[in-house]
Amino acid sequence: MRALIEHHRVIVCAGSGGVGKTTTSAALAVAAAKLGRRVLVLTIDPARRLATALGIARRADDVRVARQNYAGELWAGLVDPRQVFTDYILRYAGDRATAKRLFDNALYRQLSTTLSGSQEFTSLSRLRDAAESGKYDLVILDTPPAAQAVDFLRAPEKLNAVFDSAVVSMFMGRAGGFGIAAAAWKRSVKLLLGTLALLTDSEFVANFSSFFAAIDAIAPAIRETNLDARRLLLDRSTAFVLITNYDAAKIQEGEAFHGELRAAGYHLRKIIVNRAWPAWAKDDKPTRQAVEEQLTALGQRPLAALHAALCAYHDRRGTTHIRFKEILTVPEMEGDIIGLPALERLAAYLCPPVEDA
Amino acid sequence: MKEQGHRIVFVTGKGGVGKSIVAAATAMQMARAGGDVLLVEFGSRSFYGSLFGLPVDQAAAGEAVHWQPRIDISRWDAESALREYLTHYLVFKSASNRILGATAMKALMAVAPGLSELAVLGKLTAPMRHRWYQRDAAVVVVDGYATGQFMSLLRAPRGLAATAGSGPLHNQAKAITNLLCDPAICEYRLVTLAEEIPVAEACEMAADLRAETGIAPTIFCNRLLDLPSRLPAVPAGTPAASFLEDLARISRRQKRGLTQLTAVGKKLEGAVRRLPMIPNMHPRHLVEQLADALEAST
Repeated sequence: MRALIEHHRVIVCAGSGGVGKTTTSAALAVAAAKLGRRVLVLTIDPARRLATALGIARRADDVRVARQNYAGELWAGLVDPRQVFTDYILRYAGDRATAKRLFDNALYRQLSTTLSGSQEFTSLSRLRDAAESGKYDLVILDTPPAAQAVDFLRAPEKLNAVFDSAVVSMFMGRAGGFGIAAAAWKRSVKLLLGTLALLTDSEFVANFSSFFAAIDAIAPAIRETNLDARRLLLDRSTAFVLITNYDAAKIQEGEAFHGELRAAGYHLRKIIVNRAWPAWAKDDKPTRQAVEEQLTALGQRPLAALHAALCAYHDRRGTTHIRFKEILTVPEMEGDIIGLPALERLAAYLCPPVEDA
Repeated sequence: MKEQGHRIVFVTGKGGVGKSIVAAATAMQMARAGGDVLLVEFGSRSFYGSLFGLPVDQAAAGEAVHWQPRIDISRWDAESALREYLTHYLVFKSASNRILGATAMKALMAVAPGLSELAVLGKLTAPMRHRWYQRDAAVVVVDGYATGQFMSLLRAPRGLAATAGSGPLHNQAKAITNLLCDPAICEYRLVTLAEEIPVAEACEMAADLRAETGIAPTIFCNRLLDLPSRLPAVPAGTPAASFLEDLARISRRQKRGLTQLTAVGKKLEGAVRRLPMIPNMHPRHLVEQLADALEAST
């Protein structure tokens, strides 16, 4: 884990919902700051109390986390999709009138929040800017919440469907080429808009066309960011970490994610399995027996049975087969991990401090 | 309303609380009560397919795969649902194929707010809105998205009705909204754990659901350990000490969580039910035992 933190410029923490991804990302950042690195952790949807602990509850810019005492520096930033898109438009829209038209468009107002892939895109955009800023030795990205870890990798494709130059041109009525293919394309767009007009009303369709006219201005910049981000993710100095927990479905998902990352040329360096087991479930057989005997002697036969059942369950979980070798299991931690001291405890577990000679 | 169509049970909750397993157990519970059940999951890849070893991903999107007596499983995605919808409105099938094959279709879906959500909800409620739409199921159990995305799904028809000022789409969006708010048709099950963050999120979402649909969700507090009200005390350092300490912590957490959930349930006039922790790794046994627990809890 130490090598992972010391030898990379970017760490991408992926994983499906509810596995402790945000908390683990923050703890990794704490571990890196302790090792003397200037580190930024970027997150999009932190639990309120974690955001408060990091001091990013309502901030658009990166903040140096308060009350830290590390060899390095711990910074935190909130990814706000609305803000990121607004910045793009203000920067690339050219004139104020275009920017205003876009801000007023009913479809745009949904773009930054509900457009599929927009959270991933804005996260990557922030990641690229931070990595290139020279302010940080390491940037840790907590990927947006998703049902499955692979969703993160597929997001740019989805967004490209909107910002694809051919699509934008077509909806604006510019022919993106000559010949039969382009003509057929144009016809199908016309037919689609016609169908929409039939199903809704002309205002809806007008909205649709003016949306594409307006995003025409920012589409090249968006595509370029997507390309840059892809290059950064493929770089050897970028490590992927999969955060998961121990159940059959999650393990299967981890295997699938590993395969997909490898096929695409990304570097998966570590799988972190959270809440693997409580400390007592690691007891050896005689100790377990002693626990159950003591409980039985206290007249607590049901608790002894519960202990046996839970230990057996955790044993079975422990034997779940995983092909990937770089696995770190994290035991169930006491209570919810919310404040900085709790993050430090988790960080010490993820990356144990080395005794100085 | 009852002579046509089916009931819908939505199952939702924060990621990692066991929502999908509870949805499968709900399907089993409904099937045991009699009646054919369709278990629907959303997304680009099947969860149940890999969990139960079924060819859900191999089936064409929207096609059902048989799981067990009276239960079929189907994965729906927005694109094929929208295709189904537009095909119905396009008179010339050849023209529709040309459009729907195009990239333009993907762009349209990505941009038009709520269109893909509406397509999925439209498909779900079609038997209640169209005489010609047949679905052989008494109940459809939906393994819904997690919290935030699920609320966007429910809000989509209302939003679209507002954007598409008039026309058939507007009317359909309104009809779908009405169905989602009809307690004779829809039931909402909200799964959570007795832990601080899941409980806080569940309380918030229960209120949102109630505000959006007028229907109070039934809250299911999952993975509860059955503990005595008073745990024995043992001297520190004796074998059972760390196990009992852990149980004491879990017990406090469970009590606190249940108290909060019960208060919300009372306020919204919705039930709070308890589901046990089932220490079983075998997916099918796990679902069966959970279905037993669901039956016992009502």
